[in-house]
Amino acid sequence: MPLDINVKEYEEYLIKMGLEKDKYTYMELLAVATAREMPDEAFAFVGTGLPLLAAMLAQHTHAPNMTIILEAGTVGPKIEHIPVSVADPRACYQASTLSTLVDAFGTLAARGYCTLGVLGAAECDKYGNLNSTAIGSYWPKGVSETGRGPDVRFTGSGGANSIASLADKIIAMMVHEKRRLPDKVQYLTTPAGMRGPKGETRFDYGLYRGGELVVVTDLCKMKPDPETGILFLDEIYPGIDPEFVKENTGFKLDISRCRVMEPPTEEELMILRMKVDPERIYLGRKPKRKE
Amino acid sequence: MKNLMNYIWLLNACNNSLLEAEILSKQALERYDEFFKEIEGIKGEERDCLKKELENSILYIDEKVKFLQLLSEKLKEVIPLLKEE
Amino acid sequence: MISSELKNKVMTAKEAVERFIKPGTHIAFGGFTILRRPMTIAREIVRQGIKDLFVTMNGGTLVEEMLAGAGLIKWLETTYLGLEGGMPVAYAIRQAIESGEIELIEDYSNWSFAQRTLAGRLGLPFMPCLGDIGSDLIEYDTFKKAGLRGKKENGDFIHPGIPPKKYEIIDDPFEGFGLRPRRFLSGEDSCVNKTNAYREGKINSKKYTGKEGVKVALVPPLMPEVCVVRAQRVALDGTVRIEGLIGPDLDQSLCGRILIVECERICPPEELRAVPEHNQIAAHFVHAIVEQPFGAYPSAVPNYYDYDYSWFKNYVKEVNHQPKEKVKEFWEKHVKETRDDWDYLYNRVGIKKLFSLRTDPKYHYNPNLDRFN
Repeated sequence: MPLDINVKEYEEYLIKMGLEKDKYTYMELLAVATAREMPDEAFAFVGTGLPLLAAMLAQHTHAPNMTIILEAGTVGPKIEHIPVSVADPRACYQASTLSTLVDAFGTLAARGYCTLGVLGAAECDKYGNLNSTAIGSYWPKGVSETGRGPDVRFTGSGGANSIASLADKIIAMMVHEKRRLPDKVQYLTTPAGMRGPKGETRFDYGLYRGGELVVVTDLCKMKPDPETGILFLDEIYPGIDPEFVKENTGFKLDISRCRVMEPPTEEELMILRMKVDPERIYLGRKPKRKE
Repeated sequence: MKNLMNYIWLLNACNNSLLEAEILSKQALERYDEFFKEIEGIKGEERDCLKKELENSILYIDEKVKFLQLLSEKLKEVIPLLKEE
Repeated sequence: MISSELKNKVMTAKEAVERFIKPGTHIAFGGFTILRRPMTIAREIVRQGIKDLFVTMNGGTLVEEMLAGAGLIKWLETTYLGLEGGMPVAYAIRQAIESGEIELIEDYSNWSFAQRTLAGRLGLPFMPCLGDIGSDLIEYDTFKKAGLRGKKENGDFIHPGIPPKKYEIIDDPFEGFGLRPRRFLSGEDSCVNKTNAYREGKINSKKYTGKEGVKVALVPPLMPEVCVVRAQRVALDGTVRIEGLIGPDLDQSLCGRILIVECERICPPEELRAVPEHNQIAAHFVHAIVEQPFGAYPSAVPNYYDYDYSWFKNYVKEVNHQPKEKVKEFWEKHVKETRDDWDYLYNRVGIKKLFSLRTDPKYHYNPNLDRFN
């Protein structure tokens, strides 16, 4: 893709930021891995942070016809300054329309303009079910038997469940830790994948859209097996040991079919750094993984 | 005429967009004396903020007026060409 | 000229809160995350210490974090509890739910909640939703477990703000006729989604209803006692014009009993009625108008001022991982001890800070704002 990036400016930028043109950081890897999963002409429901960065990178590379939709009601913004929330006025700049949540989920998603969603979660189980609600008994104190609420309360669904119910494809982003990848989530906030075995799948429950899922973690990408619906190791990042991935997965992970992902290219890195997040507001963040 | 309509409607949109500008600027003029009185006591940080605010307003107004003025002059050039034969 | 009847709607935040918000009030706060949050009324609620609130909102969490931090929330209906600035889950709310200070919490997703507000706004018995199906949002019904759903012996609903059911799942009586993508006479659907499992024969679902059919979740209307929203301009007669992204605010403002609108500037009705199609809420829906410039601080009001990211970062620094008493102390000092919002804005925030957030007309935000350093 021809771009108006000045080579000399890029070289100066690299020196200033302490980066190298062929070496990638943790966040850059995640952004590239995610961007590659976003098809051209997708109507992508994304949140701010890494998902939005990935979408912008995709638009600059293989997916120039992708439309970004923000669930607060924004269609097709041309973002110039990094927003911190989907309702940030920066995320509204030069949009085609600005409207309401009812519009975003109705007029756009249900009406047939939600082909891709990017979600995060606290837990993801082997069927691609996401938990962003609670750990350790959902019930609040008023109805629990413990005299307290849940052990840990997370954000709740937000738009995640809605998007996963309406998108053809979901990208779920996770930190790859054993406790975050259990056999079964403690609360099923969002059925992002197949949901369960035959008889208990998303379609068995009546969801009419979806089924395609890729779980992008900081170690690898997992996809559901077309027969069983259970996540297996699809692509691994360069330099990562599949056994390490297996050890850090709570459910039994099939690593027999894994391929090594192409590392981020120099072009992808250059676009990410010079066009998408030059101030490194999100790219500069440290890994969440506890070493 | 059909080749001109898009431009005519462009001028129409421009005219329509000025309605609010007129309502608001007229209101600001009507209330100017009351505003001027209130400024009397202002000092320190508040005075600096106010000054910047007004300077921005003035800059913005002058800039828009300049474009409108230019447009008006260009359109005036067309009128003689349209006089009755 | 302005009649005295019109002047009745204009009041101070203090009056509005005294008049309309009592302990236990079912209240919806408009705005979304860092956008146009009605902080003036919310701060006044903290000042007056109004407790046991039944708070409902789509897209928190700034307001709700403050109310939870001050210990004022008893029940919560919500979709999202995140807070910007380095706090993925809003801390005071999380603490309050985990410890039990918030006694009941009912979860929805953004779409099902939006549909609830739409039903409320349209005065309809329910609205359909194709989401939440197959998830635990359907399975876990907190208000039901608490015995709050249903009718009393005399036929009244147990609580006028709590519908007798959380969801009702039905089989589409029109047999999936409206689901997209579908086939038209002239060809395949023009929309971009490709999956419609009912068409592909993947679905033979008997879940929820026990019969085969196209599953649709019906959600009941949201009808709070009080809705609060912040707009840029409100006319003296109550006509509301919101600029920029609306988010939940059309539906979530019109679904309740009382609507309080806080605004940057009260203007003459003629100003907004000159272009009526740009107005979102008609005058008669509004019961109270509160004028407070900069009152949404630290959230953003497009075309007026940006959000103050440094406030959020500072909040995280002061409050994260702190014990409950420390959190409450923060809100006492920061808000409760102020006399009113002008006192707050002058003395806790500062005029210079406020004006540094002023927006650029082309961008509708401040493109030169250094948010992260």
